[in-house]
Amino acid sequence: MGRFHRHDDGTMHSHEHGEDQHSHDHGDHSAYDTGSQRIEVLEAIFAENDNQAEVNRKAFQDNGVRALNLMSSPGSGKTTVLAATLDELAGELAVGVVEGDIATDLDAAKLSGRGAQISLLNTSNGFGGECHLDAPMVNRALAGLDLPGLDLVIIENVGNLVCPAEFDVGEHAKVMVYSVTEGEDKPLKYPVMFRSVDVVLLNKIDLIPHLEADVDTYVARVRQVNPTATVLPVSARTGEGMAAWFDWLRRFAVPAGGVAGPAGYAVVEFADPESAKPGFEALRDAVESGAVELVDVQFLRSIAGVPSTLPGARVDPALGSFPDTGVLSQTDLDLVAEDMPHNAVAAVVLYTGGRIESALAAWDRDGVRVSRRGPVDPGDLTAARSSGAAPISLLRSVRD
Amino acid sequence: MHELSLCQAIAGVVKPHAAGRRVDVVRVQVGALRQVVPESLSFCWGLVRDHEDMPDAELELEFVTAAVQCRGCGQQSDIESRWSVCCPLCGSADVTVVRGEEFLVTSVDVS
Repeated sequence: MGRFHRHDDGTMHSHEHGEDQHSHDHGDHSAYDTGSQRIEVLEAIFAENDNQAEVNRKAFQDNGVRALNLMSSPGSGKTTVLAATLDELAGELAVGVVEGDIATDLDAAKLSGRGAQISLLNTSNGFGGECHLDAPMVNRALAGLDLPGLDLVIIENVGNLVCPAEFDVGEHAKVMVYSVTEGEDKPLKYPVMFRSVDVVLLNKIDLIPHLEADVDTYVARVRQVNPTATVLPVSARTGEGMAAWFDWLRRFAVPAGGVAGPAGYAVVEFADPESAKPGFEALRDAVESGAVELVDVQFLRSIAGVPSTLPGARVDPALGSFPDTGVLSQTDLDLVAEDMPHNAVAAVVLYTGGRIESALAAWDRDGVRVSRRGPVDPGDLTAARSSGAAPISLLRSVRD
Repeated sequence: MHELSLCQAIAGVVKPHAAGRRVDVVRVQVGALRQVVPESLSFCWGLVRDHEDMPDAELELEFVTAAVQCRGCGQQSDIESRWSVCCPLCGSADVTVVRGEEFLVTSVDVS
């Protein structure tokens, strides 16, 4: 191995001191007699990784997906936290998991059957088994996920408190699971990791009675290194505190104002309001949980291809009330009605900040026809919401 | 094993610049907050440089001390602690790290 030198000026280097070595002056390396040429580099060592991370981030952004890098030491309960999280979010958010496991598929097996897509990234093909996920590896794993259909991607990193902290993989937030059994001194021993994260899940708090320190001590130690992180004491085993984590995740997956989330519309045609009811209930649930924001919902009847709007309560009081803001313009309603059979009833749903997959699934299940759906340009939507003047055709803007 | 990853990344930066020439020296600047153990980095470099086909490349490390700009008291100070980035003058945690997170290849010698 290389021998290590510290020079007076603070620099260090290493080189072989075996037999048959060159001699040199430890104080000056600028004048090698070998005819060396110095090349200025000034390049960040993680530049290549960071470039690839930006590519990943753009892929998430383009698909309206939020990505989370989940890190921890081995045995912190990361996979148990993740399993409970997938169970909680099933049917509400479409989740994909990139699973980094050094040599096995044990974690992937534990996570399967919970409603999430899983892309297993076995890291043992690297230089003797990788200890972290880097951006190119995550990029390869994304090929195993249907990004356009997802709301949230959770990248479960390799269990390690050191290396993963150094590698940006294109995530929007870093979360670490830190279990109380690891000891309250860990933030001070692994400051790079603890300083890098947005959220610390302090796990296994059900074991606190068996330990020396209380929860406040752990939180204080995290604060010393990372004053701004959200610290959430939880027990993935008993479920204590997990509601706060799920709430954080919901807000993360669907940012306030819906700016980063996708906007879209769906036209739901139905003959029997009763059959459409479960879908509308799912829609209302999605709104209440903050998963999506409804901008406008218009009910209409096509009279020989001409729209006649009517309040939802007139269609069926059981459907309940939805926002009737008029953001959908007459042009949009004309567009919808002209394709509908005479006397058919439809709801045009304009939404933003998330997806309405749960409602679509319910309508599909109940045989209710979603005749049109598609994305809406966020800029057009903003313009339509702010101006009551010139009506903007949100549906046509995308179709053309 | 952290340092092994770092050495691979260093070699990845050096290789395009070397463009097939023999690499004699690789100079790397490391911030104090980078959690790099010099001895480990040196050991790992000994493994990686052979693997990456630059067996003669010596690694020279230049260490950069850490400093923070405090929003609490408005002062900039060097920090001695290995783990805390709180302002050493007023103890505030409302700081910006202005130095100490460097990790770059500054130059290489080739022949």
